[in-house]
Amino acid sequence: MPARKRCVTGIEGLDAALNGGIPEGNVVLLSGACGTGKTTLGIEYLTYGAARGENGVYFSVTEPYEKLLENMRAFSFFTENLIEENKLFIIDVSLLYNRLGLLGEDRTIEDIDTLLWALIDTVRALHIKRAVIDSITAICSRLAQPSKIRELVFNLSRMFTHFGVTTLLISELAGSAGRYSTYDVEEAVSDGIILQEDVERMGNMMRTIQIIKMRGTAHSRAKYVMDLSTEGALMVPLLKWGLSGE
Amino acid sequence: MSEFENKLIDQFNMMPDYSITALFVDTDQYFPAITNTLFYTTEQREMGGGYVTITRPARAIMNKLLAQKIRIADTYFIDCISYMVGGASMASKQVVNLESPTMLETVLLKVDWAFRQIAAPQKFLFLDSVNALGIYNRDKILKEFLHVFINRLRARDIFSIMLVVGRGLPRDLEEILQMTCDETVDLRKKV
Repeated sequence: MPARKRCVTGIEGLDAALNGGIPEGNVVLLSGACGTGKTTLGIEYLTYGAARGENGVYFSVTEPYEKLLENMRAFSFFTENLIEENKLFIIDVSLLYNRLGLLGEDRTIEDIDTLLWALIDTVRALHIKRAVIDSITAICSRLAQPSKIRELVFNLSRMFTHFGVTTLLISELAGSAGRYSTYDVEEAVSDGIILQEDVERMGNMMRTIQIIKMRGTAHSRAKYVMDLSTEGALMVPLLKWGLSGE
Repeated sequence: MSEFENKLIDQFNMMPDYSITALFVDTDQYFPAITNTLFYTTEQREMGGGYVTITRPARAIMNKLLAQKIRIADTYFIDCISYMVGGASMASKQVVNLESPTMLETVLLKVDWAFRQIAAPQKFLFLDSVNALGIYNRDKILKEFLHVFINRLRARDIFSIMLVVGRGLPRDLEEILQMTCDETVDLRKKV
């Protein structure tokens, strides 16, 4: 079987752990608690692609456009030219809700279908190859019928994959061990899961990242320590004696 | 120049370009060891480098080197101690502060950061010191760290010095250094 084409994330260490990158078209759950670096990873992933001719879109559900752009400006790898040249797009989903006439707090599955098609239309119209949805948890949280979450995530994944978009679905975790998503269904229908956590060693917290699953490629399952700076993310394997406390 | 300094310079002159050396010195030779190492790397060899400091804050080391008129404009300091002791950490583009010397993986990552900043084509790394790391880390993880760290430096062809001060280092840590470094230079006085 020929090897699947890779979407190189540009995140040093992650591509090596993924054996070259995320298989193109995969929809990957990027899970972690608050402050573990999910947004930074998403921004670096999109920026790297946009600078190399792969259009990217950041669907922001939780942060307004200006605030997100301000965060992006802090990174040395980010240049506003990417936005001016229509290679990188930031879409404020709350504005999209308004434009679609979805004004209430709770959403029906029909509302979410409308949103889903709006996202798909955006991806098609802008020739998007990389997408980040921040966060899938926030979209699901407004669904009046939680039983429909599986359908929503499944349809979203299927359509984005169909259009060849390699997608990171950001999933906010409240800290339960052994879970990768708030509603437990997102992980089942996604092609991959990348887990970001905080690990404590002798009173100090370290950010870690681990690939739990990734369809279409062999990959490392080791836990890596991640450092976030204005130059982006860097990873190094967690020392084996680092967790036992011996 | 003292006998110690002459011996040290002789040893440096015999070292191959990309060697990794465990340098053992007595406690009273600590400052001559760091100033002469930095003089050799930055002035004589015109290298840029990374300096991991656990023994003393970066500010103290930099002041000492600048007082000796040693050029450190292309040397980047990974300060593992200022933050932890609550001292004034330095706001400088040449210094990154770590919260604790127990964050060994972060040391590896910040060394990578330092190497990205260096302008000179040839790079060095100075670890000051293995003993000070041993104060905060258990032997097993410290041995693992040294093994990983030294082999990462070797893979990148970095001229490196692992400083050991005094005689308090556990025997098995010394053995790890001997096993992984290319050279062992012991300038401690005979007892």
